[in-house]
Amino acid sequence: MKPTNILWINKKVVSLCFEATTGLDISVFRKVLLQHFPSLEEVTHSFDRVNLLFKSPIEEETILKKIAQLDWNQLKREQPTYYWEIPICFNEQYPNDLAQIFQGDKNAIDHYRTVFLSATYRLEFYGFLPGFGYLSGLPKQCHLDRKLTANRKTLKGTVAVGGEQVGVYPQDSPGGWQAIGYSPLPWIQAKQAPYVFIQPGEAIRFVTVDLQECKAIAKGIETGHYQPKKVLL
Amino acid sequence: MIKVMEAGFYTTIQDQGRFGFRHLGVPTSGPMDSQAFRLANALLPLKDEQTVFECTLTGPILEINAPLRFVVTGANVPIDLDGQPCAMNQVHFAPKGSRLKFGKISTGVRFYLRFEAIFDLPKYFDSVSFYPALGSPSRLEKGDELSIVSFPNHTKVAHAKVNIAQDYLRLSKLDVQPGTDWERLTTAQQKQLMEETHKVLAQNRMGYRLSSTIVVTAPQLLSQLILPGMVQLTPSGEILIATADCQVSGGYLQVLCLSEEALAVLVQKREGEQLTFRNTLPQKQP
Repeated sequence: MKPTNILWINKKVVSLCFEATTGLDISVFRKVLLQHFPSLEEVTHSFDRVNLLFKSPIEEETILKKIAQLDWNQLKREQPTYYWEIPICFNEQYPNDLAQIFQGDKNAIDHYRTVFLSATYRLEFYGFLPGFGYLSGLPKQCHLDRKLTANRKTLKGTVAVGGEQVGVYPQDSPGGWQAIGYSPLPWIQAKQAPYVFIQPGEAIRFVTVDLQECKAIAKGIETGHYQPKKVLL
Repeated sequence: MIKVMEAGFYTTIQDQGRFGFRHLGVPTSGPMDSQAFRLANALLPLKDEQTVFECTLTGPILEINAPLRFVVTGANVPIDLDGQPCAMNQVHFAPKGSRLKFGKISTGVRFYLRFEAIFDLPKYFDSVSFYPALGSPSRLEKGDELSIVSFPNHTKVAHAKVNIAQDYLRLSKLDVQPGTDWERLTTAQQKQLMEETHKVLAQNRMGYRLSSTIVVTAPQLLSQLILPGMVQLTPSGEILIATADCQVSGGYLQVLCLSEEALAVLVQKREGEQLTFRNTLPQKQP
């Protein structure tokens, strides 16, 4: 798997494009890249791009040569052996755009939720906001167009769908994705490493909880008694 | 110790920003106007310590309880140290117990106040830059006290005014290069974007929202890396220009990219001001 295109974003940043469908496993490859390019400040990635952010301006020729030397096959993804269980609450106390999307059709909403819960997701990468994980694996019939105009405030904990992507808002924020449920689990903490408990490349399943369970989990998190569950696949 | 007697409209603490955490979704933050920030640090260097006060629209009133040198850069603002006017872009000395305040900004939005001191400030992901989502305050508040770890006790000040161009504050053309989604626009849309005058509708540390009349039929794009200076076009036809606290990724069309100089010009503009883009030829092709 080689980059299909190279985008020179600015003097210090270059993006390598890949076929979106192949699925990168950059979680392992990050380390390789950081070693291979000693002048890198950071490596980030999206569904289909690897972004190399250098400390100082780069020379195209040097970078191209170094890119050619890499064994891109290492990017092949491995099958996860376990998944993280993420609680999701569909209680109407929490904002939900499904009612509007399906014009109140309860059967359609229930069907959407069932399909949504049946899927195994994969944390592709963090972006947008601190601790916002972009999840892949959303079944096609659950894809929802983004809102035309972002709303002023999507609440912290909102599980949302933007096109084929899924994510959980780690803080209150303007947002253009459709709210489908609520999850009380924080994905990031700033105090010390490890800052996140789910690593890119790991699998996730959503498990429905009622309002009472949801509040109990939130309380458990507050007191430090709740640990996210890891389940063997 | 420095005591905040009045906080001003929106005053934050910034250092160079946090790097190495964008893969966790953590923005870099740091100064909005990196030119003014660098100038403040060049005029008053102190080891690796680059902390400044970023003051927006109205400056703070500070009580300075240590003998400290300071400098002010960025937006043009009258500086008052115990009733004495001080020039911008020039090192001054504030004796212990003095009071520093600021008048009305004449040009620009943000000015940078740098003290020659190391402050005792909590770090979040290796940086003291305020970014509330990580647990820091969002801005300084009246009554805040910033304790000082050490200061070099220099008193020497430069009497000759440093001749530094503040001209950038008056520019209204932003130098840009095509962004990664430039080719997705029709020739007519490209022309419209480059020829139209865009009004600043709203702005904060995350970004600038500018007017446009371009209507794009939005493809559902995958989210990609966003850097300060990237110009995005929303389906509702608004222009969003990412700045210091911008999210690290997003799915709008990335149509243009501001030069570093243009970004400094932008972040000194207020709501209602008019801007145009100026295409600088693509310097490089892969």
